[in-house]
Amino acid sequence: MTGFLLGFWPYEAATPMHDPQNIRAQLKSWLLEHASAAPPETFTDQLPILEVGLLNSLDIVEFVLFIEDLRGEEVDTDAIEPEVFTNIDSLWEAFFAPLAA
Amino acid sequence: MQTESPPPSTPRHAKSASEVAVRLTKLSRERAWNVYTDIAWPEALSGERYCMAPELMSVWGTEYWDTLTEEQRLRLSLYECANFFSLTLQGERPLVAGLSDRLYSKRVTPEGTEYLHHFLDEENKHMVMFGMFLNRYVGKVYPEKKVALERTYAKGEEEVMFFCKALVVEELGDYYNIKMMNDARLEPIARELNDVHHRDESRHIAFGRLHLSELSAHWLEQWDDEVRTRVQTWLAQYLKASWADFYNPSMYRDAGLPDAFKLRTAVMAHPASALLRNTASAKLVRLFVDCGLLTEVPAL
Repeated sequence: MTGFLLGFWPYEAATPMHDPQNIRAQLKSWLLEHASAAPPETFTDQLPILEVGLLNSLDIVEFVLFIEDLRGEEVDTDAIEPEVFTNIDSLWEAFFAPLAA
Repeated sequence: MQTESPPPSTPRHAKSASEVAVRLTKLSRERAWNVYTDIAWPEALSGERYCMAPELMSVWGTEYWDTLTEEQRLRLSLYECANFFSLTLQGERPLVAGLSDRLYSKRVTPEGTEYLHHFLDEENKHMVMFGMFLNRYVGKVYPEKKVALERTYAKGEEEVMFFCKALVVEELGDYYNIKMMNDARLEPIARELNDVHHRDESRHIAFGRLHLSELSAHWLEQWDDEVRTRVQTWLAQYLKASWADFYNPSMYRDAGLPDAFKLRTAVMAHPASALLRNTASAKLVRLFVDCGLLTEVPAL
């Protein structure tokens, strides 16, 4: 990594797919940092992130790019349904569980 | 171009979008071109020239630019160009669908429909043209990462949003086209595509600006504060999101640059890239502010 890139990115480097808790924590961290809505009192893995405004349609592109970085491979958005963005559980199932298997 | 009367704020001497559409239809017919025969496609790119002007490349003005060799810069310029052409193509897809949906509808006047036929035809040709460049020289079109979420709209909201989106893709693209269409440092085919695109887009933009001004004057008056604020907030976010697409990690990966996602984040945060975004958006943002679709100049 060049010096130019140091210090710009607050998240950890690519996380092994066998560590679901770390992945889930990073997803939550991203959502809390980027959301325009007020943070929830409790952020469970079942919290409906679209309904509570933690994610909107314009955030999704950024969020998908972040997920790609965590996964280490690209996401084909034509192949996914909007329901995968329901909560942390559905995100894990759609994007990470297949790679961890 | 709406069927309703122009808003009272429209100056008496100003031409309506319908009146301008008649002139633009005439110009489109006089300047009609054939996407399959009017462009001379080289077998391959020389590899010795830029495809994107260095000053328009995402890393220009950052310390990272200085670390790249000339060979790396040339290679990155191909993928930055590919991303730019892909973004334009991907933006034109819903535009074509939306224009087609408006033909002969009550949302446009007969003069408007007449012009939309040309608008649509030209946008379709642009997609063919960019698709040919991308498939020939890059081997792919960068996919968009958007996911459509269902939502409801107030009356007129989707219409205003559609023409805002159209202007964003056209005006930002046109800023790049104008800068590159006469740039001798560029591969001739890249220069030519920017030139061809600009010639049609100048008419689309002229129409889009007038039409959006009329639409916003009409609807902003009718919406309550909640809808008005929602549209204004959305537009500021949409502009920002549209700019983010110019920093596609895939183009850095394809150019062989390491840490693509971190590079994207760092470049987007750099003052040099913010300056480019603000400069390139200035005219468009002024229009949105003048129309009342933005309450202030957003941080891009």
